[in-house]
Amino acid sequence: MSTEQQEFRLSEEQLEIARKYDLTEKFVQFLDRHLVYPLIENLEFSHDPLEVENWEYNLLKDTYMTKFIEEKWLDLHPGEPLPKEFEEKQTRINDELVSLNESTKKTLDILSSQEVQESLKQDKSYNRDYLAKNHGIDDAKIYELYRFGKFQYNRGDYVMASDLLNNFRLLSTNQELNFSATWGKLAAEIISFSWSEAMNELNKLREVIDNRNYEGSTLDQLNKRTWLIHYSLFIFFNGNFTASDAGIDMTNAEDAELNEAVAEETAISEEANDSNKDKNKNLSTMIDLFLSSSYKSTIQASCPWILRYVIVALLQTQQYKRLRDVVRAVDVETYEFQDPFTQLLETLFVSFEFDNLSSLVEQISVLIETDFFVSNLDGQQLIQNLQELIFNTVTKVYEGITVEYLSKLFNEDVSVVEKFLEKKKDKVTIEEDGTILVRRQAPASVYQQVYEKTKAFNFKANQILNTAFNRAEI
Amino acid sequence: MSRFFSTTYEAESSDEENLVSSDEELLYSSKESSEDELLEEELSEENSEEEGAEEEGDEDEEDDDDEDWGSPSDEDEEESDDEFGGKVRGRSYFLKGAKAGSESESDEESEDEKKVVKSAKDKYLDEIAELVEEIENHSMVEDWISIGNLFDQLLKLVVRHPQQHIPVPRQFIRCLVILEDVLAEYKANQKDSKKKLNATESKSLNVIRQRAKKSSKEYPNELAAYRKDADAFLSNDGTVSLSVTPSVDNFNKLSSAPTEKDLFNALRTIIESRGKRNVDQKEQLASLENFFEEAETPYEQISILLLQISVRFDLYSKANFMPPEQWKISLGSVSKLLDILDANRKYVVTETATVPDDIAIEPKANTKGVIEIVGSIASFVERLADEITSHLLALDPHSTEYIVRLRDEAPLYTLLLRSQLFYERVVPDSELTEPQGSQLARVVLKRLESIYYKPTRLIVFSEVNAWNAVDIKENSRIYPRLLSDAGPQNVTYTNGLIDSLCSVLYRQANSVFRKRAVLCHIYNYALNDQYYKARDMLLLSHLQSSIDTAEPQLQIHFNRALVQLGLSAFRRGLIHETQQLLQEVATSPRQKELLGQGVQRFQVQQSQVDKQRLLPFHMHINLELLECSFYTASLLIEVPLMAEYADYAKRRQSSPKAFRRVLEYHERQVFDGPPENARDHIMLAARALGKFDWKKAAELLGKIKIWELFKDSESIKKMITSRLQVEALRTFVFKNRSFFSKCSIAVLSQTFELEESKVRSILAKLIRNEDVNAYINLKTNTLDFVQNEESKPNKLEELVLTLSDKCGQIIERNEKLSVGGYQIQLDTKKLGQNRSSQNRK
Repeated sequence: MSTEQQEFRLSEEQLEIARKYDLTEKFVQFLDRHLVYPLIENLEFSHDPLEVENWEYNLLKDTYMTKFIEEKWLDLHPGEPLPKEFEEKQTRINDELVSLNESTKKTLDILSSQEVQESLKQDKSYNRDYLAKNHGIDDAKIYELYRFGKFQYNRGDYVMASDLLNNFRLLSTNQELNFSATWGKLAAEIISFSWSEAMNELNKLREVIDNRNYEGSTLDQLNKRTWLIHYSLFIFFNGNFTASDAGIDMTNAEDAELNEAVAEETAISEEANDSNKDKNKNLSTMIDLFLSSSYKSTIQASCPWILRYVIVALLQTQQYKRLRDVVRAVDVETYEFQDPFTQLLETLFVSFEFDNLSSLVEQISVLIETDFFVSNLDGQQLIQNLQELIFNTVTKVYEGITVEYLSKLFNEDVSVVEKFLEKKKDKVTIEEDGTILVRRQAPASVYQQVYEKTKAFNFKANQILNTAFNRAEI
Repeated sequence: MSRFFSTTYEAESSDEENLVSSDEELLYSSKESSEDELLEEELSEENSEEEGAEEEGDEDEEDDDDEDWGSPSDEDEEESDDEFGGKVRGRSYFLKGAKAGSESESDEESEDEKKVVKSAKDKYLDEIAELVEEIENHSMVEDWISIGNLFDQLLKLVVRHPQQHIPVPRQFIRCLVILEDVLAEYKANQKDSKKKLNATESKSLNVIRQRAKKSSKEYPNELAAYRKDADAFLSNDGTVSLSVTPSVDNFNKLSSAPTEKDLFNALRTIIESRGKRNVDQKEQLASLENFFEEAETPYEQISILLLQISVRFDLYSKANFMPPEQWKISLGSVSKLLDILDANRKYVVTETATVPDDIAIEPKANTKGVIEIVGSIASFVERLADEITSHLLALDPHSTEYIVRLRDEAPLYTLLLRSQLFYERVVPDSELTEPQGSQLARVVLKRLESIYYKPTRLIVFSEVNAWNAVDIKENSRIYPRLLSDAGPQNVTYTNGLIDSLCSVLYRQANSVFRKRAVLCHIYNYALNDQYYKARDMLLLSHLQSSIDTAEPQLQIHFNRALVQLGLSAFRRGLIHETQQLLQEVATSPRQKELLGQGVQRFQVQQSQVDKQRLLPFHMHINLELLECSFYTASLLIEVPLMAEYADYAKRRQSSPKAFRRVLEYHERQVFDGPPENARDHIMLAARALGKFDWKKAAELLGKIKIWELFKDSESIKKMITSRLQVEALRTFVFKNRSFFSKCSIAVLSQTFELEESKVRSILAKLIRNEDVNAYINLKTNTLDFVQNEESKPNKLEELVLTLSDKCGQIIERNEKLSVGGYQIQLDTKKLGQNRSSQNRK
């Protein structure tokens, strides 16, 4: 779904909605500027292109991606010569690149040599001693790797950056730098679409942040978690990126060296053809993470807008029952954050004022197309799931609803609704006058109820025991 | 006063002896060679001051000479001549002084002085000197037992030295050195001569050894100094010399010198007499007043004021409160002090200044060119605030006197603002968390505490007044001056003010500041109807978990904040939250105590501490309002619940019983009189609601007068009415679900005067939550109840269901535990190893 298509499809009103509920502004403060770029690019269809270009320029002007910045500048100021400072910056960056390249070259060569590779062990301090003794690689040299990695990242050479940071992490014992190197690597992996790598990094970060003996203050921990949540959205929602996605163009334009990345990306897009299963699996992981108590409270405390993605994920994976867990959070945060998704939940689980549904559904369908993350999912599927949920709730409460009524709620044509009901033939019959009859399940017998309630006990208890043993064994 | 001496003096205490000796040196030389009279005078002047700073008894003759000047009453006949002469001919005095100095070695001189009434300090030092002497004597013969006793006494005396405003007595240091030597010697000898000590002797020897060691650890510098300088002091052949170049500056101050001496001696006497019995403090105050009029330099004025304020406080420290007139004078003094400090920016009064040896010497400016004087404006202001509170507590809150007294809060608030500005000037941002910054924090806390409970209007009013009293050029770093064009209801201003005051306190290292600040913050937000902000703050502060162990005053603060939050929730129509928040306090039989608004039960004796916890009347939260809000909230929750479950009493074990108990009590009454108090109204309303008569219930609740205390009572009544409609509908459905098969929604909407869509949504909620087995038929627009006799479980089945539910809960809890909680540690050792190896990876 390329941006041009959307531009055609969206009416002025819909654009209004998209703009109103756009979260980019909120995201900017919790993402690296390189990661913000695709988000802003995504705004192109709902905002003035020139304006978006301006944002992009401002966003990246402090980075070292000079070529890109130059292009943007030329776009913004057509016909004007490039200001001198660009040139200066370019030379400065080149100088730094050369110097850092030289200073780290030796280290990298040594590290990649056969002999060194063989003699390195798991023990970090041993490695350091070994390298310092035999090859003269001291802490300063190692730190240079970090600097170079950061520099490369700033330049937009993410693959290189990730390599360098990885090397650095292997050698450095400085926890703090290691931590930030991991963040850097995570960002680099995300931009270069190596999702499994990114997932690894994410887990590493989680290990540090969720550690019970976390060193920083609680506030710091909260902030780190917030960052993590925002970063992770890329991974969870983009598990299968489509090739036409905006982010990749940027990196291509920037760096010809990115051939590897492109190769990787094509590989990924092949994978993307897999069924929704992978995606759903990703989302389930995300739901588990975000609904775990510490992350749930983080979301509530510092970034309630993430609730949108939780709701979407739940809808996508059809875990309707778990929606109830979110309802509480949505309810509490109403005064701070509201968007059509949370309102949907309010309507279906708290207020039961179904008359709002049709407008909500309309807004949601706009957002599904326009939201940077959600648009990666199968929009059709999402809408279907949504309809299913609405149908279930409404029929539970109402008797004698008509097809028209339902079509109003779904904000769709009658024919669509009929198709929808067609699928539910075994449960639903439509009478002549358009009334829908739903076969109600007789309340289960007490035996059945007790059975339902207790059947999972054995399994659950075993599971608990297993996790306990596993933990002890780690 | 003299720059040279104060520096050397402060810089290195080890030089003290040196200085003294050199001084005497100079003194001698000045007597011998009077080439330059001015210089000479200067020197002797400095000398006499230096002497004044000396603690040791044998150096005090100079001091007493000075004293003669100030207080003619205590001096001897023979000295009066000198004094007289001194006054007339300043120079000759110094010559005399010099002479006296030259003779100072002689004992007769000091003998003379002993006739003079000795100051407490001298006495104290003498005592120490005596003890040291004795110890020295006993140590010659190694009489450990007596040494032990004497040393004990000495130690007891020595700890009192800060009371006298002097550093560690040097005699004591000398004693320590002597003891150390003796002990070392004894140890050395012991090896040779195996002379046995008896049990008591060896015991006291050990005690002495330990104590001496401990004390010497406390004063390592002094000991080192003594060890080094003792020789120099003893081998004083006049070889030690220090060149003194008196500055012109010093010369200029000379003219005021005599009165100054005089003044500081008087001050010293007052300081020494503080806390003693039979001292006429009123007279002292009067004399201080006189001195103040005569005082010329800012330093003098500041010193006098500092003392004057403290003495005035002392005067009423035993009384329940300070009389308003006196309070006002104190207030005036403090603001005068601030005036002086504002006018003379290089003077700073702070608690963290070093305690001077002699108050007569003006401390030298520190590196920033600021002269620091010991004193605490923060304490003064705090004290003033406390005094007004205790007076208000003693007054009948309904009397005009109370209101008159309350007006004094305005000047106090101005003072708070001014002292805050003063500290802001003095304390750099970087030192906010240092001890110096805590003074600022104390003032800020007081300021916060005097406004947080007030409505916006009042805060703005007092702000305007206070800022008007401050120089127009002044502005606060913490929160800028209120611009006069701001309206009286400027909530953004007050919010900003309280936010920024609190943010100063949050940065404090001391958690007491932070806790207080956060509670005030919550209270204020709640008061201003910013419920969510206040609630989030309360949750984020995590105070609930630790409040049980906090000091009572903080608990009272916490309760107040909680109750205010509850009332705020009520105003917003958040009924469940109201009930939760208010429950604990509202149902407690000790409400008043919990809120610091008085003692509920009859207490035989009220201790001072208990009284301190109380808050003055104007800060009280209206208890009736609190109760009323709580019971109204409970009514809205519990009545439908009672309708829902017939066996309500049994089922809802966990729900608060307070409301039910009151209701039951009310129902037991044989005769229903017309409702009198708020509670009667609520109970009758509950009964009306039980019969779905929401109109009557609304009428009854609307009659309660206490609602008028809320800012917007009409809208609150409206809120209650609309809630009553909804709850009445729910009650109706619950009560009749087993009798009806169909129920027209139109009729329901008519009866309860709710829109049909609203009715539908309420019913839908009931159905969705499976509270009612029914569905809404859209075609007929009715609520169809499903009456299914078979599906009703019998007793046994019900029990089984409950049991399975409970089991489910246990498993769920276990799951939670295993995810985040404690894990079985099968082999801790192994676990540790694995963890470390993992870290290496």
